[in-house]
Amino acid sequence: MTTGTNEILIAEKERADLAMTVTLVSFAMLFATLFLMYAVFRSANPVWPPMGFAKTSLLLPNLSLAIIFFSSLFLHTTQRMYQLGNSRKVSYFYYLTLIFALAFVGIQFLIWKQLKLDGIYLDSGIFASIIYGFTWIHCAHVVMGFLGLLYCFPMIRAKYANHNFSIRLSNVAKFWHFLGIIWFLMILFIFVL
Amino acid sequence: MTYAHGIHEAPKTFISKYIISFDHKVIAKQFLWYGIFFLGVGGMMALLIRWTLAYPGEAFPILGSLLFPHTNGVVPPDTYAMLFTLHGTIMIFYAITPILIGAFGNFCIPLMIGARDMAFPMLNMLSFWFAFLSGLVLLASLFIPYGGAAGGWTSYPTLSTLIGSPGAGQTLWCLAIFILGISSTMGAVNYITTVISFRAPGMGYFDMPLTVWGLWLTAILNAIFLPVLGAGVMLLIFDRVFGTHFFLAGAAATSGTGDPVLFQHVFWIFGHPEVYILILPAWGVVSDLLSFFSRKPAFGAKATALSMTTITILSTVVYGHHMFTTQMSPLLTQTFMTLTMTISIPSAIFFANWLGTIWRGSIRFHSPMLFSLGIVFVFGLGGLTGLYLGTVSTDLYLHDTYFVVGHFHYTMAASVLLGGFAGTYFWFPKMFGKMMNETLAKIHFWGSMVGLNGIFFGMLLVGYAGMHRRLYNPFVYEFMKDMTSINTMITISALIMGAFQLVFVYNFLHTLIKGKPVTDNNPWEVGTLEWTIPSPAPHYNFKEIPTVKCGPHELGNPNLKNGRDFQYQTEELVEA
Repeated sequence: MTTGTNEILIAEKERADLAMTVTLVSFAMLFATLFLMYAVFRSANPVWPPMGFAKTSLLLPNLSLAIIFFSSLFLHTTQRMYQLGNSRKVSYFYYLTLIFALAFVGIQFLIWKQLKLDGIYLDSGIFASIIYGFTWIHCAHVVMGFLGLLYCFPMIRAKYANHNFSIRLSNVAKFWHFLGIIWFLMILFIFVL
Repeated sequence: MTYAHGIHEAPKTFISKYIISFDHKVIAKQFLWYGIFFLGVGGMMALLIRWTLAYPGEAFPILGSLLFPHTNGVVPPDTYAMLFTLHGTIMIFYAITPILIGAFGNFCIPLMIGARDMAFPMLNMLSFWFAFLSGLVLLASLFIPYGGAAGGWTSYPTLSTLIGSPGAGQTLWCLAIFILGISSTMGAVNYITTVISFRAPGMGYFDMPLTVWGLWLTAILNAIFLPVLGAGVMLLIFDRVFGTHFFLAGAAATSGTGDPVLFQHVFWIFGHPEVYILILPAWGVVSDLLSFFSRKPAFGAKATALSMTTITILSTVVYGHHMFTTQMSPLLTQTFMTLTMTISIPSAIFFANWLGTIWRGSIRFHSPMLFSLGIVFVFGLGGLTGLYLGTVSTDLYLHDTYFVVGHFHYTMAASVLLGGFAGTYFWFPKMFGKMMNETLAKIHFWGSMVGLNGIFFGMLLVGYAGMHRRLYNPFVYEFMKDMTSINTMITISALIMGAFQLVFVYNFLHTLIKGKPVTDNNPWEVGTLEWTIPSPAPHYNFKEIPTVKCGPHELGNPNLKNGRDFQYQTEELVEA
């Protein structure tokens, strides 16, 4: 690789990093607004959950948190393996990430099913609105993240023939880790506290 | 710095050239057409509103019987609510935003910083098509049962919930705004990255033209605050479609309670920065044009850039002044009032800089300069009337009156519209390689100035007299009966304003179709980078990436030679 080409790649990486940072700031503002609203609702209601509701079970939310944590870990390892040039392990950890991402979405559906079994329906008031609304929005972003992961798939199949692979993987990983952090905060605020 | 970015071939087919073009200049023109179309739609709605207020119960001439056959051409009350809602929405989000930010942002940023295109050309293209989709969704809402949204451009619950707005119109409004938010965020990411990464060698931040400063700061505000509105309208959609209770209070929310006022907070956390999102590009354009046409360096250019930055920052912490009447605690109202007043300081600095720039200049009264001077005047009025609304005691009286409408039209409509026209006349040769007719442009300016001042100053007067902003027929109230004649004057001014826009449309289209190509690549004799290349700007803009050696406002230096009174940014600075 010539010095000129190397400079171009570094410049592209810096631009992509910058753009992704701005994008994550935008997404962070969206979720910050949701948390702000939650804080207002929570402080305006003397009892939480409101009367007539019991606290929801933490089993499935915690399980989903563990799953998204491991998916992040696997994605991080995918990046590490790529840097080390271990192509077999890159594929291996990438597929593991995909499987865990799908599992996370699956658990989300179980959480919504469990809420219904507990008698918490969409129109059951603000407590239900927050749980359903916020988890829907997060899940929609997880689906976007999953599509981002699939966006890397052709390069995995082609064994990273494209030099943009590391940029693409790095940006998808940042978004995925971001979603993991948001999910942790949601579990903490909505289900635990 | 490396510049082998976003390489894309010169488009050859119609589709690749005009439909899915990656070229920032083509995308800029797409946004310009889009904005002008919606300007026409929103303007037509304004005329319907004004007709109703001047001649209540009378049929709208010519088009009335076609649009409202069931009422013999009279605008019905429910349609009136829809008209003022969509007029505001369309003018702010679908006319001003695409023209000032979409068109001038796309066109000017790469050309003025010496780049060959945006950092992410495909993202740029997607940004336009998302905006297009959003426009379609909004227009579609006009043709469904119950019609479009009618809860005001602010869409406060409970007016905007199913209780206040049955039918799908309000839902489509929310969806359209959400999609447009995605489009604008894509644009913002692109603008921010392009300005930071693609400035020509030698171009520091303070060597950027102030137009680029304005657009860049706007992009930063867009990236940060559009998602706030996005979250709000998304939850509003959930309330309307899925039956959640975020913004419903009382009996509608039986278990725990939602909060309608919370939407107002979310809306204005976004909404106040939005005012500056709209006006910062116009400020930037004016700051440059005043210098170019006064043949003088911009007075205190750095201070102007820093003032705009300060206003950008302060704009994020003053939103509460829109909500003084919502039983906000006095401690908060006073805090928001004080913060609002602090915006006067940087505003006064750059306003004084504008006056300093034209002071003792060799002013050339070309059409872009006339429009720029117009902005200085109308923004002065808009800014001063804002003081009354930012002060708690006066706002309690003036809130929701036509005074508010007059104030924000002076700042957001008149200033920004005149900025859009100034920019269009100024960059038209570089966009299309032709020169618009100067005489028609000047007729357009004077007609518009008479019209818009008649409208907006009249609004300030009736508002001060207590006329409420959203009444279908205010004259059923005894104390407003005497305001009929002044409302008629406002409407006649609106008709004048509308008529003179036809001069612009004729000039624009006639020049485009029949205008002769410009022979001079730099007809205004200014030194920013876009004027160093042929007109219209060629594919990829610059054969060689230019190296910047001086600032954008090097004009009027007596030591300059070869008959010019300006120097290009690519030339070594001649000491004055």
